Amino acid sequence: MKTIKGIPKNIDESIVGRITKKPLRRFSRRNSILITNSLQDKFNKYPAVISNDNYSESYLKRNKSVPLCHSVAEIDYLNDGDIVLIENNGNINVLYEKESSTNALMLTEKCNCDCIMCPQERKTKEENRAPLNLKIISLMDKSTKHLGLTGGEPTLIGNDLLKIIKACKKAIPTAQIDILTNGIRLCDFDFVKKIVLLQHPNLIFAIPLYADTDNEHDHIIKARGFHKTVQGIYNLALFNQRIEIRVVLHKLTYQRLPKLAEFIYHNFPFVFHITFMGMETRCLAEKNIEELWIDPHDYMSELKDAVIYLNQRLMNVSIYNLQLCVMPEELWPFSAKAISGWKNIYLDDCSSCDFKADCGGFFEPSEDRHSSYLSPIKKRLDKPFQECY
Amino acid sequence: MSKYQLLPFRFQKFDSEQMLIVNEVGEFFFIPLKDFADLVSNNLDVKKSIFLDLKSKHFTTDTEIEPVIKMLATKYRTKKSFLYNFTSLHMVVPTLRCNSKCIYCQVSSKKTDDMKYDMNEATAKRVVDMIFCSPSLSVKIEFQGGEPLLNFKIVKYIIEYAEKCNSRHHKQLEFVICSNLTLINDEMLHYLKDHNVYISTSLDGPKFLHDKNRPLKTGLGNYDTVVENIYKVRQHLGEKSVSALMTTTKESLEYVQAIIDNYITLGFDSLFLRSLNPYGFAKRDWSEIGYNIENFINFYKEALNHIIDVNLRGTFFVENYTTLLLTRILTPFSTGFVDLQSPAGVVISGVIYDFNGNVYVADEGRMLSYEGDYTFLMGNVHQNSYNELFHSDNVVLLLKKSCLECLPRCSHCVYQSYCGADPVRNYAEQGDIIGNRMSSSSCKKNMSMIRHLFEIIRENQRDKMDVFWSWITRRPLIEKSKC
Amino acid sequence: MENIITKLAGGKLLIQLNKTIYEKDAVTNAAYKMTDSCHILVKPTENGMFNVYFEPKKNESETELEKIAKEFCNEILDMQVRLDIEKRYGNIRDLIIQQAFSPIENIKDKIKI
Repeated sequence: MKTIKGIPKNIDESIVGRITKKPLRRFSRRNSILITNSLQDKFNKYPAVISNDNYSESYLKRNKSVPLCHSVAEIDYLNDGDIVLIENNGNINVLYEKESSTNALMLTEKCNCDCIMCPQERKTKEENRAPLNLKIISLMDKSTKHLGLTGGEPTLIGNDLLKIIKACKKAIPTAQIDILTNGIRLCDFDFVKKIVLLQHPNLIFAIPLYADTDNEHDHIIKARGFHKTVQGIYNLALFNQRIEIRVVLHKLTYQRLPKLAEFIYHNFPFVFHITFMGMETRCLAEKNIEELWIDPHDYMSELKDAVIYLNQRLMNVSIYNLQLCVMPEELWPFSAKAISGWKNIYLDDCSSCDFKADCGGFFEPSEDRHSSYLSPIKKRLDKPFQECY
Repeated sequence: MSKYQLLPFRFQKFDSEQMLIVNEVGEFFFIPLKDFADLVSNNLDVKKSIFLDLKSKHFTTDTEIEPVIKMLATKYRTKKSFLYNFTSLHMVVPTLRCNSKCIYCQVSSKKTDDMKYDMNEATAKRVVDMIFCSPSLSVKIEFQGGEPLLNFKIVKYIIEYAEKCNSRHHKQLEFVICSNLTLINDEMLHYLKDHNVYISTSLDGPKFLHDKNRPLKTGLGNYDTVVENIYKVRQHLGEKSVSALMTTTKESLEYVQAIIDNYITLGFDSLFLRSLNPYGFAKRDWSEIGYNIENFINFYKEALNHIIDVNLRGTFFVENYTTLLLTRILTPFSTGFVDLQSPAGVVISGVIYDFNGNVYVADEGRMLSYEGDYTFLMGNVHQNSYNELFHSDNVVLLLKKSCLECLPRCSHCVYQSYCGADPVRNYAEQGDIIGNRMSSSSCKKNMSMIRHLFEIIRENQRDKMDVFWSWITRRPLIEKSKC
Repeated sequence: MENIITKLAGGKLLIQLNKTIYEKDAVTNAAYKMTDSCHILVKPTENGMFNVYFEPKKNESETELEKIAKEFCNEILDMQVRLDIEKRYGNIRDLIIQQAFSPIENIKDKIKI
């Protein structure tokens, strides 16, 4: 989540609203936060105003109690239709970007696993986030094409998850909703049935699977989850739901990738998508880096076998979060850009690469662990494969 | 207390180094003999990667058993899903008359003017009514013969009446005409186009071979006509509208490559290598046109080799029987092919309605009836109801006796998951529907073919496996230099 | 191998098997596999043995028949191993097939191994 700094005035508690750069009529202002560079006007009824100007005393005279966040240097990051949360310390958190295809809502920070490479902060206690999330959904642009529901573990909020899905169906009816879940709770057939009965037309359940055998998977998630996740996948399949299987690549998963691919094909041939994902080295991943790190270059042979195996069988397979220059060209067609826009970066060297535009790039910050085999690629005329890729 | 629990599998020593093991759902593994001995004597180290391989494929488990039973059950259901389409293939004989005089004719076809062997409208109507009693959601009506085009009037009647019935039933309805393609004309082609009918014809190879095997009753060859009409059919009904079957006679054994190359030259993208079946003339003249099954297996291996080469050189061309076997070996899915199923595909997957309304469990059952043996007659559409025909004690008994899982030898056979029971063939060859595997030629044939495929699979050469997968998925290999 | 095969009059051969090692199923299954190459008769004896008699089918020579009888010995061992392994699956195979077509409640309680 992108955060922009500003200086607060009149802000007692957090304010959520949709960005507008065009002033609105008084009765349409209720959920809109105005961006303006002239603080001379009247701003009654806006829940807040954002400006890159310095605060002027005259503002308070005209607007009494209208909250203001001023001196916002990065104001150009914000666009019409974006949804932000302004904190009382002046931080503007961008919760939703209208033009982005990687928007996601954090449904809870709680989780029933403790994965050793988890890149998320976790809390055991938190306030109910559902009211805020429902509000955000209600403010989203109707034409939104894509939204991820993430966590923590989204299914832990139980009935609130049903409310969220229902809200999505109403507010952003054409959006594809990716539920990023470990699938453990989905072993409850009745819970799955409740989700299915909402008849959302475009749900995808993105479920991680780290090994083809129970102990090895469970060692990574630090919970007894393998067989429940398998049952969860079967329950979804019984209702013809779309399932994506996600495999995070690191030292504990890479050796059996080809076996895992076989396992997926034989047990879950009905899945809609399989993704192999480079590891983000934040939080727990950073803490456990010695146990987890392997240079992506060193697992390419296993990754290639797994991807080719699945593709040969007409399974839809992708590689996320890896750079073209560490992959054999045969894998390039499977590489997709998947890192959220606000944290997707490239290195200085990348500017001289002819394939930067097609490359998945890196996670921010640039101190994230990288392969030592990175190097800009030049187009070569004697390589027709590159040409047509 | 043992360290791990074995889960059901079958096994056979593959060579001096490896055991082939196959589980209940057809997943396989080549395991060194030493490791196998350890595995079955409870001495395999659960920390070894080979143990994880076996566990991953559900040959064994060292943790919970219950969830593994559920996973195996799910896979088993997928493998046996053909059972849910109870009778999807309905073969109909509009006439026994034929203008061909194939040397291996299995149905003792009648003279072209012998009208008493034509199906009449009353029978045709009852046949279609019976077909629509079948619970299967997809129905394929295949016209067999004789030569169906000699009684095109009744073919049209059946197509139109079936379409009318289907406006109520909404099944996935498909029509195929098995024709020698000598009599097809523009008027027929227009009709077939309007009703989305596919053509299955017969082509035994180059002109000299085809004309020797499949002369007309006039004594003349028909190769040139057939070829001309194949192009005509494609022009009217589309490129993929016509496929061809090839029957291997003793003569064919010498011309492996010529037969295949001929198919490719004529623009086919697949063929079905069929060995000769001992019915009708083929049985009578076996000493002249038949051969030992070993000869056929050599023929098959040479053909497969050549076809793989052709594919690797850039031409997408599929051998259909191999593809069926490979689908059973390499994928988690079920195949609808009648001959490779357990319980047997007879009745469950297909039945045949003769010109006079007699219903047989399989085409070979009908062939036997022409020799005076009515063992596989289910009844007649005029005299029996659907239930009397399809749920009779005879049918149930036949199916019970055709589950490989309980047949002698088959029950322990490592290839069981890939093979099928063929009670009619057993009966025809050995006089008994259970049969004796040691002297069965179809057992020998399937075992040898499956073993041969396993040898290639074990070598695991990328290019050969790419060819196999292009067949299974029907997705042509993309030349690597282009894309 | 001399002592496992006993030569009888009329070109017949006899093999004696201990019932504590070999089950009837293993003996009959192995015998069945040989039916294509010779005639076989299996008889239980009072002292806890199976007597297996081999008789030529189509004028096989004595050495040929002996070869068949020896093959039989290996075959019966193979069969017995299979039967022993089968037993270790308990009722798991049945449970898989049952579960495939009509889900079972509490599979755990029904596993017998």
